[in-house]
Amino acid sequence: MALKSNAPDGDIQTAWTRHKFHNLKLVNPANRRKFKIIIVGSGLAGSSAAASLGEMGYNVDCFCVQDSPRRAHSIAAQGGINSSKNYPNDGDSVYRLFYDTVKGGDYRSRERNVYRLAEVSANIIDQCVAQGVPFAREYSGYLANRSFGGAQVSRTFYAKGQTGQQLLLGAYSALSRQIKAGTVTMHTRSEMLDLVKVDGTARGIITRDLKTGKVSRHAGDAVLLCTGGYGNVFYLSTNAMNSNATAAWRCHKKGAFFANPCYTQIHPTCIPVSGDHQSKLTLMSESLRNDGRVWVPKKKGDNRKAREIPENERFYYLEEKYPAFGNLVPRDVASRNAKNAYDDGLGVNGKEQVYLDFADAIKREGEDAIRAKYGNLFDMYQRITGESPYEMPMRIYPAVHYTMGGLWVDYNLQSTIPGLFVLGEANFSDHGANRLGASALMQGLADGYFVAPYTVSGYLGSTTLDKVTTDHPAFQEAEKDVDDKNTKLLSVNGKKSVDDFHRKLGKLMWNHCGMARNEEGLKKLITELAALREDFWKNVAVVGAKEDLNVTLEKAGRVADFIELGELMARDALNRKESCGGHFREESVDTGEFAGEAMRNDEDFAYVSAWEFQGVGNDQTLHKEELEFEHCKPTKRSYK
Amino acid sequence: MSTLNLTLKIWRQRSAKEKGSLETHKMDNVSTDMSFLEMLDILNDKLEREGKEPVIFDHDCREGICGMCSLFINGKPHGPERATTTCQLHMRSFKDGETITIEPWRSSAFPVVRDLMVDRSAFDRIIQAGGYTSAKTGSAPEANIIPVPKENADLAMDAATCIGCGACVASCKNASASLFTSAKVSHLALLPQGQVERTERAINMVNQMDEEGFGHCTNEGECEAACPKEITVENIARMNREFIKASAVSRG
Amino acid sequence: MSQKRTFLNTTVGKKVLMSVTGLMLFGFLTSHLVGNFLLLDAIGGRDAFNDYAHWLITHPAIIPMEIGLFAVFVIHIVTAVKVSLASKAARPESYAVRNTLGKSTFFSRSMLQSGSIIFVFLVVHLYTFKFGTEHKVSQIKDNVSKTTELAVVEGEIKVDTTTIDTAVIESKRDLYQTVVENFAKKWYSLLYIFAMIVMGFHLAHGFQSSFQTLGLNHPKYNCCVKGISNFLAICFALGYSVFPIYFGFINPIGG
Repeated sequence: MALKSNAPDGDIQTAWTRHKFHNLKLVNPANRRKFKIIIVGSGLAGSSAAASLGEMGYNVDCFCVQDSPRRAHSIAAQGGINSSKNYPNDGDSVYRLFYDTVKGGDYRSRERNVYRLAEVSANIIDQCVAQGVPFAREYSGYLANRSFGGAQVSRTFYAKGQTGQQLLLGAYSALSRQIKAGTVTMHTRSEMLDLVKVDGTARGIITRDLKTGKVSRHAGDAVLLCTGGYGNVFYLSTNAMNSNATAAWRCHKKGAFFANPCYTQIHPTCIPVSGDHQSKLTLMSESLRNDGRVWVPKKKGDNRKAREIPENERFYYLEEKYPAFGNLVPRDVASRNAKNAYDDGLGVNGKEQVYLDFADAIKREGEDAIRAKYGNLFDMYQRITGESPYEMPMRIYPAVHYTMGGLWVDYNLQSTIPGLFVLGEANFSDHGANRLGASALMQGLADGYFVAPYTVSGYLGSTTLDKVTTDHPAFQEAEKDVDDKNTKLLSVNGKKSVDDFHRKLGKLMWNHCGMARNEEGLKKLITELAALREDFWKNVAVVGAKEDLNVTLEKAGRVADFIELGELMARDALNRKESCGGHFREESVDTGEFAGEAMRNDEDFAYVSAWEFQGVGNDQTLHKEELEFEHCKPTKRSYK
Repeated sequence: MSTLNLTLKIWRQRSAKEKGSLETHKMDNVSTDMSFLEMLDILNDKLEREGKEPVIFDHDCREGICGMCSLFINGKPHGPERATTTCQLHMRSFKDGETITIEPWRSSAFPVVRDLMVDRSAFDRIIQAGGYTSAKTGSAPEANIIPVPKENADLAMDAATCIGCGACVASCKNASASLFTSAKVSHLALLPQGQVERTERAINMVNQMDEEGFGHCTNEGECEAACPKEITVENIARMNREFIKASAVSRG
Repeated sequence: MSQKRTFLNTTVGKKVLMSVTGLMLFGFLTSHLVGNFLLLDAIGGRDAFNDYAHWLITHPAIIPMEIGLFAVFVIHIVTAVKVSLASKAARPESYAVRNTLGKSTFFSRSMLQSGSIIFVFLVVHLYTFKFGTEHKVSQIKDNVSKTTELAVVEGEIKVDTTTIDTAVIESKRDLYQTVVENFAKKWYSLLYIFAMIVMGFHLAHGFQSSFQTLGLNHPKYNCCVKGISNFLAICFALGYSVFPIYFGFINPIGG
């Protein structure tokens, strides 16, 4: 199947405007209420889409697994949101934001999507301010900006270290208004377990009520998947405990192609794992690297306390290897170098961790100045580790943070299944092989507020859809599949807990498909994952009943999907014999000027890998969407 | 790292309709580096292996921001540490040999779903009653067109930082939701964008809060101490001001 | 949402009512206390106090004022009961273990109890004073406004015979005597002092709380309001306790 991006040709700067006028039909306001739109997920993308479509007059059903739409994991984003406003007058523009994002993505994203993202970024800030999002302000009363990784301009808007929270609460309030108005019906504690296709088109979903276990059918004219990323494949990640890939994976199994699954972003500054009991990882903001110095002891097995190790016995590896950027190298470079250090046995106390030291900064600026900048982060660190970063260096560790891959979508955010749209982190579209800081929030809201309302209308306005009710055999069949799967999980009666499998999956993925990958490891991983899958279905212990609140059953279903998704990630990583962005193949490194650094292969791999499901455990079919770079000519990323 | 031996008394309740009771569990060798929820994970893992039903509790982000975790630990919402949610509470805050009583938020407006999980949808309905500006997508003017005094923006942010966990209700002698409701009323009342609907917002949100069956605020301030985001009762005074003014001028 | 509640049917409205009536009662307590000081010989004494009492009782506005005051009391108490019942309904099942977080005070937690004690005291107080033993004192009021006081001794009136023709004899209540007699009972004085301390507790939270309820909260003045609240609570408890101490222990003249 040839993958068509459906992006308009011609001048990139007018592409979206022309597309909206020429290619996207409108739906008469009086007719909109006749269309039912199903939205799964209530994070930035889901809430903003539900609010906007509800406002337009569509009949919206929105689903989330949490007890309130306000709790989706977008809420945890700390840093900020990019926008090309150029308020600080430092030369920013739509074009520069577009260029930085494509470059930051290591030239593996679709130019036209990214351009549109940069274009609507200004509207997002306007919209959020009108909603009452309390962005940081200058004494003049105007909005403040700060700089973030991967850019030479200050274009990041922020609300303390809780930007994601404030943006989500903004979208949630808009959604709440629509719920009150009756245009949106909210279904909380509901998990989507399957997509229903009628005549090849997405026409509904099957959900399970997490409070009662009741499985139910929902029919609609379009389905919008806004379910976030799949970082929890690694068990330990900065994702929330309930973040999962089940909705996306079940859509994939129904025919939606999965694109670039191997692109995962590892964040270098997380709090290290303290033991086997660890359930998730906590991120410490990237901003800490502005003042903290990263180091490890030079001697292997040096178990002295940090303060007892003299200056000349410390290895400030980032400063030494990257004198130009020092501790501020991008996330992937910082993470990989930490891994190299502890792989060489230099990890602090022999563990997978390195120091982030503020002693020099405190000496230079005084403890009060550092407290003013990072006080809340230091407190959080101390709350979790019991150690004070004012007295001893922080211990940090790289952790899975974001997944750039996701369901393949065209320029309209429509997947390979007509009527199934994918928004936010759940799609693959805008960040290529690496996402820049403060861009995830931008994309979620761009998709929900400013792209999907047009493209979904375009779809509904130009497609003739038969009336479908939940009595249709396709619904019966999908519901039966869901029910059978749950019955099967409950009937295994094994001895190993769901978390045992999840932990094991995470370890395998982290070791072989984590920060560095190689052919041998990936092949081994594929075999081991197949074995793990079999073991899971033979030995998993799922207690409780189907038609009841049952958290074990919920987890089991998700882990089963994670295992299958892990296999696809491994296959994708194996196929992509180049290093780009978050995907580092040990075989593809520079041997010349930048020896040891990641090496992209534009000749053979400037494409999107979109995988078509072919049954559990089977090789999936690879479809390629070739990427063209008319505006951003691929160059080498160097931080030396 | 050291370890603790603990006795847990955990509230078990099948549903809002059935009676609940405290169930005792012994936990040995609990690492002080564990978070409180990780300690419960281990208990649940053990229960599942024994074929028993796990203890049900709400949790999600585990980094103190989603507001999903709750738990009334040893008589205090979110446990003994100030400005800390249950998910960020670590076992080093407890002593070896200690008995820890874990209960759900108790309020008639937060009916128990199962064990320690409660239904907080009352909070959503309070927001739906008016916790927004009616700015349609795409209708917003240029963001910098209205300057906002930094002090007001900062105060609005302090109020907006509410995570909607419900600790304020749980800690309040009267199970009042005034701190929650006032945080949203304040947040929008402090910003120019919130002025247009200021009157109806105050009236509608207070009305909804009352419809949900929360108690009265008797100005004790326990909510402020319980709030993991340290939202102050100054907001309650502001809400009262807004409400009194609104009631006086409203034509509705 | 169902129909909008009227102001006084909202939680905020009820608390505003509590706070406004509370402040009114506070005003009443102030004037009452000021009047009471006439009991002390150093300031007033028997005559001054009885005159003041008489002026008050015979004032044409007293009936409407008393009705108003009674209404304020009733509203304050009924609303308090409603608020407490609502709290009970808002948390039908109480916690097995509950600890304070350090913001509430003993005073704030015990408003209902202190209020109840004050209510009981109020009943006793009205019974023993307002509706207590009626001693009489008569005065001769002549037409040149020369007033001569006559002692009342077992119903017999000693009269200054030189002025009898022009004198009009007026009899009025000797409330001073009632006070003196009541406080002469030591247990009564002790109970009175106890009630006044409890009233201090009630005021310590009530006064500042009424400001918060009315929306008068500003970080700049909060300390001030709290300070004044505590200061007034102490002043009132001490101020009202002066009389039982004076008449019960220092100068027990009634007996």
